[in-house]
Amino acid sequence: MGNNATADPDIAIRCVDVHKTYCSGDVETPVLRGIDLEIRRGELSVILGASGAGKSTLLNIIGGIDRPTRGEVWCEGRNLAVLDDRHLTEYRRRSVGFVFQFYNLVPTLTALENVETATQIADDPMDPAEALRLVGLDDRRDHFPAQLSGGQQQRVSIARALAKNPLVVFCDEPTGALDANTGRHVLDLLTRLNEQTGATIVIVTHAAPVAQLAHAVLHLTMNGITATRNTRRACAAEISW
Amino acid sequence: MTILARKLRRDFVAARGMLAAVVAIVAFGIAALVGLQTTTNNLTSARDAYYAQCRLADFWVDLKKLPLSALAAVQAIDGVAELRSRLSRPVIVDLPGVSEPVSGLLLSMPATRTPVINDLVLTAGSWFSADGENEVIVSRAFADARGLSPGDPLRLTLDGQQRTLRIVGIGISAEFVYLIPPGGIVPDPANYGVFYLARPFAEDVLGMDGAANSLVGRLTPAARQAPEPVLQALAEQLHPFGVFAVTPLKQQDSNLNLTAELGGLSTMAAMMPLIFLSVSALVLNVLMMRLAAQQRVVVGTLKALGYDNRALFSHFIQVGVIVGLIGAALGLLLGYLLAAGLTAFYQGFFTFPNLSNRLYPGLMAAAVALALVFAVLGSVNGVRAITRLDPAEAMRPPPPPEGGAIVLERWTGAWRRVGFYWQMALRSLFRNRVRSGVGVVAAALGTALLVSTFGMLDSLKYMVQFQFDKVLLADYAVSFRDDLDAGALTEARRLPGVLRAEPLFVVSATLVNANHRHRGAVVGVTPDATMTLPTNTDGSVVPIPPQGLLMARRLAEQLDLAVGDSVWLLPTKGLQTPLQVPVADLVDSLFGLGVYADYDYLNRLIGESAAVSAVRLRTAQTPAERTAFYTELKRLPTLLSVQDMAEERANMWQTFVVKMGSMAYVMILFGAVIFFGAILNGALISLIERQRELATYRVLGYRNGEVGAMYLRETLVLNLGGILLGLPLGWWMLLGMNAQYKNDLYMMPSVITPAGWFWSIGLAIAFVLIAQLIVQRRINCMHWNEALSMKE
Repeated sequence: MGNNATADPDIAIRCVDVHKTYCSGDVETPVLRGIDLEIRRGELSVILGASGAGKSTLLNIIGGIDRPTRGEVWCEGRNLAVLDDRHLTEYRRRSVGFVFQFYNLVPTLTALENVETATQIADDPMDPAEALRLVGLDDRRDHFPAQLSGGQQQRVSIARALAKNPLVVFCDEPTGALDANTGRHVLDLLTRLNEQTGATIVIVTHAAPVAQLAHAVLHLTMNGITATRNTRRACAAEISW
Repeated sequence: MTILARKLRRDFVAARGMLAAVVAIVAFGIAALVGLQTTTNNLTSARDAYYAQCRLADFWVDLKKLPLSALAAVQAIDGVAELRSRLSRPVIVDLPGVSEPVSGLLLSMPATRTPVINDLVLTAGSWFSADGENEVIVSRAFADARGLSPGDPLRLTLDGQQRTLRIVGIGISAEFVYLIPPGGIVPDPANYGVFYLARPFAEDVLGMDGAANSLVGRLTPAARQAPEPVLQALAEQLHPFGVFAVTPLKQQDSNLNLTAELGGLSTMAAMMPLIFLSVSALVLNVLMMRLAAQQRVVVGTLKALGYDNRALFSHFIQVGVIVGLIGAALGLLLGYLLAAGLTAFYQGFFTFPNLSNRLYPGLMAAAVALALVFAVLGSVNGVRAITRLDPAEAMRPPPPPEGGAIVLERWTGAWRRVGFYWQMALRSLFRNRVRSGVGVVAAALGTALLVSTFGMLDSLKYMVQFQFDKVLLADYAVSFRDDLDAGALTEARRLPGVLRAEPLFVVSATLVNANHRHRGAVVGVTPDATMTLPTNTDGSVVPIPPQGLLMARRLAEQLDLAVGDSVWLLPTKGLQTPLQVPVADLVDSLFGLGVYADYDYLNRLIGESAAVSAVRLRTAQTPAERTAFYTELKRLPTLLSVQDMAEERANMWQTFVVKMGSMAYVMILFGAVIFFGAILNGALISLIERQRELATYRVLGYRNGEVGAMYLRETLVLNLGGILLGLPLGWWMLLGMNAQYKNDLYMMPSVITPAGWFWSIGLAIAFVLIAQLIVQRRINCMHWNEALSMKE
């Protein structure tokens, strides 16, 4: 397919026939079997799948943390599958923001400083204080992670991801460690940020109702992936899981 | 400040307890290096400057009498660059209010001040007046010890005649940096000094007009490389004038002692920092591996954020660099102070005009570099483990720790019998092999330092006790300048309070075997002697053989001789004909390179009969008898010296045991730091790693003490193992250190008394228990409910 794989300027990421197999000794465990997908720029996409369907593996691959065993992952004219470590690091540095299930904040840095870990290495970052303001935590900027609730920590994590002004923000089970109410707040925040800043957001989750928020929904199963689009998107307050 | 630098600073603060321990170990290693090496440099440069200032001789010749007319021929020997003849004579000093005769060495100096070989540095007063009549310059240490200053009178017995001289100056000479009385081992400044007279006056009072009995000379630079043939030629040339000894600089008493001390210092300066820095590297390695495990998720996240390996490597390696830098900075400061103390300490031992503590920027730079190298080496393993992590893998929880059976479990029967708690402790130790290994090594090295230090003290004590309780059993040793006949012995027996007197016949001689030579003396001892007992280091007395020589084993080795071999004896007494004498037996003596022979046998060999060079006395004196005893001795025209053995012993004890002892306590402090630092570090790391486990026990209802006891078991196994290994290691270190101090004057025996072992082991265990107390306190204060809910 060559370079025209991302010729469409509306496509942020495109996967072509992506396979991933984990080897442990003689045992081969195939996790992804021929995944094709497209993530559209400016949209909020949800990758939905049951436990063990390979959601996190897929996210790691399109996030440039891991490489597929076979297939192509196109982003900004580059095939991530063939990039070496240095270029993958470069890709993560410039193009990607991450939100983790367990927030993964550096415990010895304050909220603001945690955001700065991203802005200090980005080309065109946001003001870190502005990023915190966007997630509604400007009054908690000097708090350490241990002094924040789970939901607040996740919002710091989101601010950190957004502050780089990345091409895509990947969220791995962002509500997985939160109670339903806090989870809804976080999802509401992600939806608003998508609308306000135009950031491309990919949420990976096993919670089917979350899909109602998305422009595009990618159902990941053992057999592959199917894409659907929502004609009407719900708002976060309406959903429950 | 970048955000990573800020994180680093906070990580550092969070781990400050553990890092402080490593920093302390680094600091003490660097302090040992800087302190010992600075002292060595101070001494070396003071020595070099002093030797140059005094134009120290390359060789000394002692002879009977050399007419000055014969000097030109000696001067012409190839390799001799410069020569100075002088007069030398042992003297007895009569100090007001001091009953015992004080002895010294009289040397002539030019009447007018000119730079000469073995020159004097005046520290007070002035040089001689025009003819120097009745004027004397006194060595500084003696003047200080006896409170003498220029202008004071001084009464000397010269050739049996008492003369009252006036002190004009106080001086020091590079010839006597370390001045030991004849037959002594340590300086005795109050009882032995050097007295300088103007040459014309000295010739006059000693009856040596136009003659000399001492030569000092300098060699050409080429001859200095290999002085032996030149000295050989000198000895041959001077033979007709009765050569007693030809001594190269290398074997000169003062220089020998100084060199031995510098050698010992250099060895310690190399060994101690190596031990400390190695332990610090090992401890740092454990610490960094721990940090790697602890920061796993953080590292994965930072990588996911786009931080590259280089940034993370340099971020984490900075922990090591900072430890190295802080340790080095503290070490430099501590080392400088240590050097100041040591240099002051050596000022009491050695006489230098300007021995001062200086800064050596090169040494300091090297020390900092060394600290950094060891710190980085210690960190690199952990940092590599951190950066090797793949981000995807790093963010997954770590695989559960290895949980299989350990080696010990193969012995099923024994394993079952050790009980549950011990099983837990042993499993934990075997599963953290690196950490356990580091703990054992650190405990072993710490113990070894303690053992070798206590051993050094014990060895010194043993040396003094051995010499005075087993070998020198007399109360007094009286030496004569010339050999006397049997009448002297009868006279000695009549001295006040004397119970027993035994004669010695001492013959200065050169011993030659093939191309090995040794200039020394043979001591003739009567078979019934009870006060001169050649004794092996194990305490067994070696009887004097009726025929042949009894030789110190070290001398036999130097001369390549074994029992039954013959050796050429070139005596400086009697007929002076070379004699071939068998080596009849060997003795492992601690002091000197002694050679003994039967009294009558030696007399016959030399062609004398019942000649007496010295007597050993056993006494039982009242104070009045004692004063009378000294008064009569002082009247003897041929008296060379009187040694009060009790005083000698006290002096030696003071020098060796008390002074060296103060150094030993510094070493013990060093041992304590390494020991305590390493133990505490290991314990705290394992405490953090197992916080959740320990919290679980608390939740299950275990008491704090019970949780601590689980810990104590591990600590005990680890450290007792290390202590056991450290015992032989310390013994081996002691042997190595003592080998450094071995010279012609004495050999350090390696002895550790039961008390020495007890203190080493006792202190080691005390350190372990104190560290355990700190751990127990941490356990008591642990917020176990929080620890339990922690994610990592």
